[in-house]
Amino acid sequence: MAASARGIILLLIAPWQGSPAAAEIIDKVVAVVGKGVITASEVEEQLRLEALFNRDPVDLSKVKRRDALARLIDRRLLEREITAKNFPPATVDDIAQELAALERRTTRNGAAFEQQLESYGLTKEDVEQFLVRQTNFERFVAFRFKTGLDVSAQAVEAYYKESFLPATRRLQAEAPPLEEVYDKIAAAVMDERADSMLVVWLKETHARTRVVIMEDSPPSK
Amino acid sequence: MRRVLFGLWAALTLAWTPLHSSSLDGLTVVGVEFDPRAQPVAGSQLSALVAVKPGEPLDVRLVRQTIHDLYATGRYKDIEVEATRAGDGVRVTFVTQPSWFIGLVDVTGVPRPPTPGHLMNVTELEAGEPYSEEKTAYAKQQIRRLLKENGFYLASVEVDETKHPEHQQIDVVFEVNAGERTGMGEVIVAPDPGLTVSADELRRIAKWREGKPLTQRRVRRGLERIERYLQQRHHWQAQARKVDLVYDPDVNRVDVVLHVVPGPRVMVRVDGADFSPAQLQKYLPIFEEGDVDEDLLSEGASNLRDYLQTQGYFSASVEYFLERDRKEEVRIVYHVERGPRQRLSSVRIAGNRYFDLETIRERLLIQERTMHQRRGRFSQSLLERDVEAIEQLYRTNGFRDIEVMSRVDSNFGGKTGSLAVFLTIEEGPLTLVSDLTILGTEQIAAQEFLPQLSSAPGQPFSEISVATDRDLILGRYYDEGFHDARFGWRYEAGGHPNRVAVEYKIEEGEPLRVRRQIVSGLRHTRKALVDRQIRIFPDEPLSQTAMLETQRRLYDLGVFSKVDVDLQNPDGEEPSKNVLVQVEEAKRWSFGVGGGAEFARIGGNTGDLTSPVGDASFSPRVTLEFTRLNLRGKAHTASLRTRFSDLQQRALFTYENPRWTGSDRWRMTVSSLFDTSRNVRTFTGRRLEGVFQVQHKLSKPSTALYRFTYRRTSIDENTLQITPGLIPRASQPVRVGLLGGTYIQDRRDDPTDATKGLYNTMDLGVASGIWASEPDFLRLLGQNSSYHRLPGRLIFARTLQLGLMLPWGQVPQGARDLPTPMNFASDPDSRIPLSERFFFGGANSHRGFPINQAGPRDPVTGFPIGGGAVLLNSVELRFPIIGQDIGGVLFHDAGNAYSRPGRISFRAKQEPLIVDGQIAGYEFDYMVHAVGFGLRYRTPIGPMRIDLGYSVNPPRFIGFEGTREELLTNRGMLTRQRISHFQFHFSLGQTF
Repeated sequence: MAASARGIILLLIAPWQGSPAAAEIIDKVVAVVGKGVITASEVEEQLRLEALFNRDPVDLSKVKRRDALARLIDRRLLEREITAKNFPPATVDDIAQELAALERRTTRNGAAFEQQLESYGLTKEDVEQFLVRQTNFERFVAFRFKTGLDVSAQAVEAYYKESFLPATRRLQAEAPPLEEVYDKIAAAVMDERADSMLVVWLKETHARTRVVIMEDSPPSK
Repeated sequence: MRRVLFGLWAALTLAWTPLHSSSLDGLTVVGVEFDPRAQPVAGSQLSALVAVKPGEPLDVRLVRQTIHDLYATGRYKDIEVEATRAGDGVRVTFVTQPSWFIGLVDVTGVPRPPTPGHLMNVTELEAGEPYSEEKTAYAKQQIRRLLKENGFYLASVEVDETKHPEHQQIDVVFEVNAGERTGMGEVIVAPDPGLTVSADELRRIAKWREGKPLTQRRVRRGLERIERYLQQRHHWQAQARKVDLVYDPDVNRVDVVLHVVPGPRVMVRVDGADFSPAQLQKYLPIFEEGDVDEDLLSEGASNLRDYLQTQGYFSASVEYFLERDRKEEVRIVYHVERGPRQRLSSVRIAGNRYFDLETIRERLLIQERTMHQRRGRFSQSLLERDVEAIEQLYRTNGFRDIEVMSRVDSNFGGKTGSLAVFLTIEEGPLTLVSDLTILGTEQIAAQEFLPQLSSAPGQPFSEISVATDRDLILGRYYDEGFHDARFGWRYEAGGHPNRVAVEYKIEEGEPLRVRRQIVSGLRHTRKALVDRQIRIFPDEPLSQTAMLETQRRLYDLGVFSKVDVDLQNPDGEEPSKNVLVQVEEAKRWSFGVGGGAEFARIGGNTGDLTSPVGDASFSPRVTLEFTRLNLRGKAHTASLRTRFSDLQQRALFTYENPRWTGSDRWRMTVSSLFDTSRNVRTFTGRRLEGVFQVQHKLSKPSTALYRFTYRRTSIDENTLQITPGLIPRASQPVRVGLLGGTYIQDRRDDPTDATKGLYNTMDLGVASGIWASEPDFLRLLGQNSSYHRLPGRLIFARTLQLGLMLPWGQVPQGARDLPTPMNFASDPDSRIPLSERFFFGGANSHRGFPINQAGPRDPVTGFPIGGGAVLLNSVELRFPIIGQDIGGVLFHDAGNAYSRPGRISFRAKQEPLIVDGQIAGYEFDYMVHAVGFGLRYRTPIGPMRIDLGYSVNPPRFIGFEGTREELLTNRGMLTRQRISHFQFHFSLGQTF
């Protein structure tokens, strides 16, 4: 048993150990969405960006990669819709404030921010592009799912009674009167409805779009 | 140990090192390679797509971008990028798997039904689309489903795939072993509270006898019958659907599980107006659709209102509502307010200067009362639409401030119920284009479409003209392969009042070109023949027009039952595309049997000379036809058509090359004919004929035919119904060689039923001893027809036909003219054989005669002996009677077949020949006039026609009462006869 195991190990490591010019797979297709693809490096970049924004260490485990790929597929579906509808894209100028806020939140000076990004395996351009895409999504979702959405006073009141008051009671805090939080609750109800519409839309779009996840991808660690 | 193995395996998989942490990041790229070396994308395009360049630092973003760009071409199924350290640098290898595309798809081995087309459709495999195993598996599953629905429960389906790596294409053939078709079993009905019909009764209604072969059509039609049965009992929303088919392998039967929902009884009532049940069936779509919903109810109300408005109830309104007394019954009540009955007496238009009244009136939906529509047509909504239509007409032509005002006088002329509509047009100023600038045209010169643009300088300016120009310009660009071309425009004041300067801006984009054409599906047809029809050429712009033209030309060969021209990889982003030309060859052999009958004045005993005009008689006939298409794979056709009846025995062999000399303008035909016929009552002729003919399409309306005909005609002496003195001459076999041609100019809008245009023909033939003809003569036959539209959907049609035969040379020995006194006037030139003369009269020529009864006659027997000239002038007034399909004709035909060209006469009176104070005969060289009335019923192959003609001056003639034997033995009796004043004709197609 031990001998055979050793054989397998040697067989497996031979290509890497024996040749000084061993080939590395530096990128590959991990999923097909419609006419486009998602590559392994995009999945990894997504994880690194999420880690940066959440101020978590980078986790490139198989599970995390699989989840990140699912999120990227959803984003790709949205991107297709944005392109199809000729929705005006955001620019780097549009996200300057958010980038500055991120910089302030993570570091105290510019040089340290660069170092921070480097430690996550990212560049400033990666972050800028990520923010641009994020802004595009938010604007489009607002346009596509919130336009014309009307939240009635009854809906706000129902939310106040059924969700807001129980939540404040659980926090043992004093609940403000409805008039005071009316606008915020109306916005929250609208967000909630837009979210559910987005979820339904994604499900339907997923069903009618060719999505293929390559068998051994993303590569497991 | 297991843990060690797992750890090592995990470590090894980390050999896939993301570039962010790769040691190779930033190293200089020393080489970019592809594995395999042969790539589906052409070298130059590949270089443009690969962003990773030797000599530059390795950058993960460029690698990623390259993967995206390569994949977007549609030519790759999978891409992986490897990097290998090489000295101080790195070598990058793109490991790729090419995509495959669907080529020919076929399903074999299935008896009908289902049809091959249905089977192909359910596969949902489209030629040129990317291939995948999932698609094939789905297609196989769909075929199985369809087979089961058609009773093939034991069918097996195998997939045979043939790869064509040279163009990344896979042909997919589904080979089916269908097995035995199963029979219908029991009918099982899912319970429904409203259903009172038993399962056995439903089976009887559906006509599903046990053991009958199960087919999708039988099940569907059975369900329709059940629904119809329930609808006839006022369950208009009845639904019968198949829930399941349950197969019992022991008895090879399929039980049909049904769910039948009768729905409520729906009763329809109309209040306020009387409608017959037939009218309700016609105007209420719920009866035809078998459904009740808001749209259909509303459409029914509109139909009733429209009908009432055509009856003069211009302000009629119709509303509907539902009464639901009980759950099982719904009443639909249409409530009608008819209002007063009126008529639209006058529509007056004023203020128009730019357009004439006719141009405006032809756009109006409201109509003044006419003979056909006694109350006219009017409603407020129609009037509003007409006002909008007039304004639109003016706006389109540059009158941007147009205003049309309407006023209705409901007591016009002081008469109650008489309406008049007054339309006052204020045209306003005309805005013209002062200048047109076209920007962005680099690859197509603007001059190419400039002359066709509507917004040219000096032309009226309107948004609609711009839209027309946009379609024209973009259409031109698309035709040149610029599928991403965009069009923008703007205008500004042109310096003068009511003048604008227009600017068109075109973004051309990059043209899409043809990479190559891939022809498939040829079994017998020569590829060279197909290649000649293809109008798509490598490296040329990919033009939709050229693709359609290719398809049309291939269909025109007549040897393909299906032709598809598709793009391979239609969604891929490639600068050039492969074009797939897929054909399905038609069956090469065809065999047809037909039957028919003639009913005309064709009867009478051949031995009896009593009735030269013929008796109304019926002659059945049988036709047999064999055709061999695509001879030698060259799209040539050989056919044998035969016809047998007691009037005619005919066999015609034809060999046709539709693209002689490779051009679709030339068509060559060689034919030989054997014909024995008695279509002319005077004799039974036997004809052996060979024809070589070339047809040359000169232009769209003009065609020329060049022809050499050689025939041997003989006449059965025993059938010859003319005076014995002429028998030796007339019955002699004769060989005629005729070299000639025909010029045809056809500018009619519809050859089967023309309403406008011209039709001219000129046929010239020369029979001469030079080409071994026994008689020498020149034959000329011309026709000039024209068709004119008149107001009120009337058509005026006219035609003039002139035919001349000019013999020359010696009178053959033994031939002689008629003996005096009978040769006084109407004796045809004996140098022209009887069988070559003009026989004239009947449904398609002069309707004052029975078929072929015009012209000179034998002075003793009275049978027609043909003329040496014809003249016919016909005029017709064609008018509608009921709707579009039934029409009428008033006609006048004037003309005759004359004995010789020099004896053509316009004289209307027939002169008798007086000998010794007695009428001894008649001359026939005079003009016969016939007037009449006809009915036409429109069919897809031309109108069916009945004509009743009244001949004003039909010919009288001397006939013979008795048999041929009595004539030869000088018995029998000469009698005076005449052709009837009334002639009745039945035929297909207009007379001319």
